[in-house]
Amino acid sequence: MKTFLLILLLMIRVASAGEATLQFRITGLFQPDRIEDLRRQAGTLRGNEKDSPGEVRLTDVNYETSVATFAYDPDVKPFKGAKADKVVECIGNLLRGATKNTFNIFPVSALTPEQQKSERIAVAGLDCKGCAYGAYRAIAAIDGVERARVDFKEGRVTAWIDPAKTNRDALVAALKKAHVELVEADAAATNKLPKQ
Amino acid sequence: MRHLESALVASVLLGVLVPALTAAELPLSVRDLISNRCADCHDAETKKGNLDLTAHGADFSNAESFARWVKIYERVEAGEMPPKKKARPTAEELKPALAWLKLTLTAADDARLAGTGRTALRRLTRVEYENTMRDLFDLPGIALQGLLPPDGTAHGFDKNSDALSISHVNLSKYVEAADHTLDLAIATRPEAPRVQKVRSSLLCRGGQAPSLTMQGDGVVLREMKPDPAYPPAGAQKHEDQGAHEAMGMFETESSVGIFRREDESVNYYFRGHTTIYPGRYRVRTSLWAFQWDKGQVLPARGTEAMRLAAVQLTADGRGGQHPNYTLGYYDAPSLKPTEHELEVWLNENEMIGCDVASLAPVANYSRKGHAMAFTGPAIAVDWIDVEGPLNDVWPPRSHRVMFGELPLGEFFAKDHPEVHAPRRINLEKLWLRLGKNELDPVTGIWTVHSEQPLADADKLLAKFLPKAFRRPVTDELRKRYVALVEARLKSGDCFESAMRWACRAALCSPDFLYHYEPVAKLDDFALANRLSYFLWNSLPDEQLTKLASAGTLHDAKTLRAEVERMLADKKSARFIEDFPGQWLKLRLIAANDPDKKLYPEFSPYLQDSMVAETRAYFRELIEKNLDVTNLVQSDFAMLNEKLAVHYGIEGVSGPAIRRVKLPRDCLRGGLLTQASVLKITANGTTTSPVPRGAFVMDRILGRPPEPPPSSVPAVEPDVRGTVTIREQLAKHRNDPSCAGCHAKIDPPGFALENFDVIGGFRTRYRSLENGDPAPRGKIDPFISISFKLGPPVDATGEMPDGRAFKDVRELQTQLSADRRALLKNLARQWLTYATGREIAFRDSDAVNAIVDAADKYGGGLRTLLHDVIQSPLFQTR
Repeated sequence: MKTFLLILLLMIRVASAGEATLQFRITGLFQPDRIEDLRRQAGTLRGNEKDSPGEVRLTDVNYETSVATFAYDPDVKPFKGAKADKVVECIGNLLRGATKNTFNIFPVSALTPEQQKSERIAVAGLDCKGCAYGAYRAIAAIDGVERARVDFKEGRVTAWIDPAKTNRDALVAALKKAHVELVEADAAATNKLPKQ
Repeated sequence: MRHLESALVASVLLGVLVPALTAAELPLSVRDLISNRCADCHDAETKKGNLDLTAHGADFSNAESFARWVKIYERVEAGEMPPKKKARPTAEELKPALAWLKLTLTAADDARLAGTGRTALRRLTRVEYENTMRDLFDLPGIALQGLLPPDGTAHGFDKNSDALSISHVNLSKYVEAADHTLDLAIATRPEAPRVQKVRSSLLCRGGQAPSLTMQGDGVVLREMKPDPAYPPAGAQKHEDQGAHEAMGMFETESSVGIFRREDESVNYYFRGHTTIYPGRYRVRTSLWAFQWDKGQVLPARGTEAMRLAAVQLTADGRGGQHPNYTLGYYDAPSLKPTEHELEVWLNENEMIGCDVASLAPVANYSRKGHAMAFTGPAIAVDWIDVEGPLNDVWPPRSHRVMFGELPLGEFFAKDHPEVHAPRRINLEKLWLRLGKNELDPVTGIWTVHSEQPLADADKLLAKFLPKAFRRPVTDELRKRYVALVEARLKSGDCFESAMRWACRAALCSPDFLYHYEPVAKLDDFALANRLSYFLWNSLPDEQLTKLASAGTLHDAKTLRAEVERMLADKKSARFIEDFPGQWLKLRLIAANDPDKKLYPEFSPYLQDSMVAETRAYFRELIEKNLDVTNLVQSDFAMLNEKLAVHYGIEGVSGPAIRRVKLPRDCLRGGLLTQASVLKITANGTTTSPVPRGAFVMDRILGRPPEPPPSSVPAVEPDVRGTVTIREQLAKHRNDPSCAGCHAKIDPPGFALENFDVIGGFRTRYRSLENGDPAPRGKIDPFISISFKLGPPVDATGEMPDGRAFKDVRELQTQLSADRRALLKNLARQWLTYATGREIAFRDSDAVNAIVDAADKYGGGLRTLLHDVIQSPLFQTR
């Protein structure tokens, strides 16, 4: 809990007069065009006009690291006087509501890229963005998956994981459960982290 | 003895009731006829047909005895008795006996019906009730039939007074139906609900089409090619519908191509619009057909048919299998997007559904390769727009019927603390909230405002009551309703509630629920009613009422002109639907589902086409005033592509019914060879000449056969292909007690053996066990067939008068030779339907006069219809 609050405080920066920003690890960025989806759906987040007139803006998103930055006015309801965790909760609610739960925020990963292990799994039969998202959300939900990518044209699912928490077998099991067809032979041959 | 006979005749002529006579007391002419010509077979010893004429007296006040003597009279008069093989009685023998019988039976009939008129008091049927409410309030699609208990039938029709009983259940349902109508009729807002136009795709959230496209039973198309953003299901299906929904895969403007027909687990609903405000809506859609070939869109095999339906959502509205009714079948031409527009009435929580009606039932979800391995026909839906509710005036006409031009104003409870606010339905609560259309709420309570409530009520009821009661209303009666308004106002109701109370009382009163007809000759208002409920199944319109008020409707020319006007009005569709629905039993078309293995080509579209054919044919005969012999034989049929293929006739494309000239060698033509009649007279598995023959005797020739004796078991069908029905019946017919009736009933049925249970032509019976492999013929290549061809059909037969036929064509020729019989039967059917009473013995001369008149002028159906309406039978209660 202490670590979480520390990370939270570190994330909070004052961007400009009257505006504060927060950085998060964002889930849902499984292919490049999802950045555009995020900007379109969550570029500006607004709550209920009466109870929470405060606005949240997406100021930056880094596809490579899956880190997004949001700005808000701390002097306006519902952020005024709110504790840090309430601010995060509020932004998360707004984001999920605006994106049909396809994007979500978490604390930025405490692991360095070197500490993360990549797993690449060859798959078949992912024909469209919907299928790709289905495969993505099957593995993104696993505790220890820091970020993931799905390339349905290439037939590839890639995940960066915390090896202390999960492993390739868990990823494979989750994909199978989601009826994603695995190309086992290819998976073994191509299990190598792509250069980032 | 001659004196006794004369005395009897005289007593009859003087209107004295004929006493019950023993056999010995019958007039000499009758006794001579019986002993010389009948007693050989119908004496105490032989008793053929269980009839001993030597012992039977004549108690005409006894219904059974009366009916027996009517039958004896009719059969002797028609020359059926004594039978052909026996010597004919001379005219001298027959004439006095028949004359006495006719006179005596007529007198007995007169005595039986004295003081009641032909027609007993009768209430509105469910159909009449719904139509009356629809027309009275200008709510053309309000659904009320379902609220009321089903009506019985008597003498073939539900309009018969014998069938129209009433109970406390009816009464409570009438109150419910009246309340529902008034809820819809009364305006509760200052302005009409906002007109909304919602465009939907079949992929709209909540429907089943998304999952079908995911599994390959449909495809998403853009510019007539597979949509690259959502490719067809291939080696793998699309998985995780939720993920696809979240990614907006179904929120697309792309078209949806469907391969799979509706079935027990699949329904296609356009979920963009769920009706909040019942009313008129404009529906537009764009459809086209194509041939799908493993990922390619190619020209279609022809014009396909898409069924559009109004779906009545039940429970929470989710899932499929909700009740629905057909709005129509629409062309989907090959690769040519075609827009269709229709104006429909939608009730609350109704949405539009569709089905690829002309396609075979195929399914790709479990097929390897799914859509990318499939080749076959498909129909594409580009979009559908639902726009409405459409109100050309506000307050609507339904409201004005009750409140005229009185203004609507906001009701402030604080200003009238002693007045109860009017009843309001919470649409927000009733609505299932499944569409993209939105509520258009109104703030405050809006209600009609009157400065002088009692004077206004009197004025408004003076207009409303005569319309509702279909005749002038006395001041006394009107004042009773005004008194109801007054009482409610005193008890604290607002003007709207008080008026509503009075109107509801009127709608639940005998004056509204019953047909009011004076005994003897109908006055002009009763005539207007009878005519209107005959041809429109509803109340008279303004013009009929105007003519009745002027007292000119009885005038033959005026009446004729009105009949022509009414037939031309679109409301006559109700007659075209309801009369054959009962006369030819079309209402029973879905009474059984044909065996799927024996008749795999059967489909709901074929069934709907069957009914549409018979209705269109009946309309064509009336419109073109075609000879009544067309009922049994004609050189044309009313077909769409589905039926034409079913009948083996080429050159008809699309779902629209049109007149088609039949090829010279075609066995079709006339009602008897129409698939609807053939299906109704079969049981879904096999055919039998008995019910079909009985149908022809009863419904077409007007000679209903005796009901089967309860001691004789029905002939069980044999679908193994070992014994034909003719062979089974032969045993039955060999029993002398059965032979007499079956000699009359079976022959027409034998001729129809060339047609199977769904009206398809056959020369061999279909079988599930024994037989030869069946060729596919015209059956859709996507329908698998497993039935075999069993024994050959023998469609030959011999009529009771000795005329033989070798097939249905020869039977048709024989039946059409007796035009008078066909005219007489149709006249009787129309009179029974229109007057609500079976034709009595005493009506025979009047019916014959109608037939004479119609026959003289060519025997056309419209001529006959006019003659029926101009007749004293029609114009007398």
